[in-house]
This record gives sequence, C-alpha cells and structure tokens, in this order.
Amino acid sequence: MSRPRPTLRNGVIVFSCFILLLFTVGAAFPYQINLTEYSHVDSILLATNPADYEGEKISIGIQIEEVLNTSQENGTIAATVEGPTIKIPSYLGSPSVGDHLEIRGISYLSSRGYVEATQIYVRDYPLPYVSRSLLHSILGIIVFVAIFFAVFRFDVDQLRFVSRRD
Amino acid sequence: MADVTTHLLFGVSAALIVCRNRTREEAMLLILGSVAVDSERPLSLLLNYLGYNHDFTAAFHSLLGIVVISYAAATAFHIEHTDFASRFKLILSGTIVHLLLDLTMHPWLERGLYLYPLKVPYSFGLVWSDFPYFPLFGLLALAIALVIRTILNRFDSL
Repeated sequence: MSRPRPTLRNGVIVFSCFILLLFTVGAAFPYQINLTEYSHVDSILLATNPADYEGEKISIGIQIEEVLNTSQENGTIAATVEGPTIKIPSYLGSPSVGDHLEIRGISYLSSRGYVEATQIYVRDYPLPYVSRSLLHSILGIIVFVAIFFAVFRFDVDQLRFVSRRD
Repeated sequence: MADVTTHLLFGVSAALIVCRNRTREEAMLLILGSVAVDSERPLSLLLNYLGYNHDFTAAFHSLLGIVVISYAAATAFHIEHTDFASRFKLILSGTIVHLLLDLTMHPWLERGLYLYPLKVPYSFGLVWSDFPYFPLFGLLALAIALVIRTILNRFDSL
C-alpha cells in the first residue's frame, strides 16, 4: 500500500508543533550551552535576572539610550534601551546615543550596577532603526516576490500555490 | 544574518546549476528555500521591539528548523510532474544554501547558529551580518554559476 502524500493540513500541523516546541524550549531551557568562555545572553533576560550572571563573562547586543557618565578616567557609563547599564573602557572608544553594539564583557549588574565591556563591535546602522543588512534586503524582497508570483499563483480552491502555466 | 538580496543571489546561483535540466517551477522552489528561512524576521523584530524574549531566529536557523520549513512549504505547492519528495528536497537544498551563508557570520562563536533544540552554538566565525560586501559576493556567486552552467551545457551538447 503506498503512503498517502502529505497534505497542507500535515504541513500546518508540523509547523504548529514546531512553534509549540519553540515556546516550550524557550521556557524550559532559556540558557545557552557554552562552547566559548562567553555566554550569549538575551539583554532583556540579563536585565531581569542579573544575579544569574553576576561575575560571568557574557555576550549581549544592546542599543545606547543615554550616556550617563563620561567623567570616569577609565571609561564611559551608558544606559541601554534593553535595560542593562554598560561601562565601556576608554581604550574601546566612546559610544554615542543610538549606537547598536555587540558587547563581550563581565556582568557586575548586581554588585556595581553595570556590565563592564572587554570587546565591542559597533553595528552599521546607516539610518535610525535600519541596519545595513535590512537596507540591503529591500531589493531582494521585492525581486523575490516579483519572480515568485511570475512563476506561481495561489489557487483559492486548492489552497495551494500552483504554476501559472497550469 | 546575511541580507535577503545576498541569500537570493546565492539561491539563484544554486538553482542555475542544480536545476538546469528542471522546470522553472522546480528552480523556484530551491530559490524559495534560500530565502524562506528568514521568513520569521518580521515577527522576531516585532517581538524584540515589544520586549519579548524568544528563540524564533535561532529555531528557524537550525537543522530542525529547515526540515520543518521545507516540509511545511512543500505541502503548500501543487506542481505537475513533481511529487512531494522532490519538492521537499528542492526546498531543503535552498535552506541548506541559506544556512551555509549564515554560518560564515558571527565572529564571536557564542553568537552562532544553534543545534536547536540544543542551544549549542556553531559558526565559521568570519564576518558580522552587516558586512557591506555580502551582495557583491552574491553577484560573484551568480557569475560563477553562469559560467559553470554554460560549461555544463556545452558538455551536454557534445
């Protein structure tokens, strides 16, 4: 007996189970298994659970909201949109409001109130809230949609994409 | 992640070679796979903006994620003279091209893709996702694919 071919219903069920798995894993296993000395942490999770990472080497992505203190000889203290306050040593440069940074550092949020950065990467945002990656994507999205619908159309009766040549 | 334009260029490049003796519909499935992995981005960006912690990007950009995406997408098409297995393999091939490109990123390895649902990161660790020359590499891949396709077509005609 031949195996029945998967239907759209099967596809929706499989995808829904995957989304359910996603939420389950996210709730049950919020932490990453480290292969480097740094743990990638969601910056919002770090802000709400600072004690879990006190003294730990972490890797986070943040956006500078406000530069709080530039009078420190050995760095700049800045508030972030995501919550954690960061301290950037002077040898790493001076952040500006609106900068999107990837930071490697040590979390001292519970004891000193900031994450001390040891490495930073300043992301390229040519426009506010628009990264270079997103800017480059605009043409690709337009071209893909155009060529996709040049080849396929959506058949409402079958609820599937079918070739325009059929 | 790399931009959609670069993913599209690499997907088209792969389709020019892999699907050179197939229909345009089958080629389009491979191209779909090469960009479909990033279909979660609008929702992820919105959830990030609203302050929700989630693993959408990590889950979709994993081996399990691309299998699920390919399976679900393959059920959404009906193409004459192709069966589900062929559609699934073509879309999966495109998603693999997508993952290979995204693996070039994340110089800090802890920011790499996951062996989801195991949150074990891995990457080739080369450039950040906003590397400005990604689309140029995509164009280079396209040019190379056209050359290879031309050579293969000449061999076929001999």
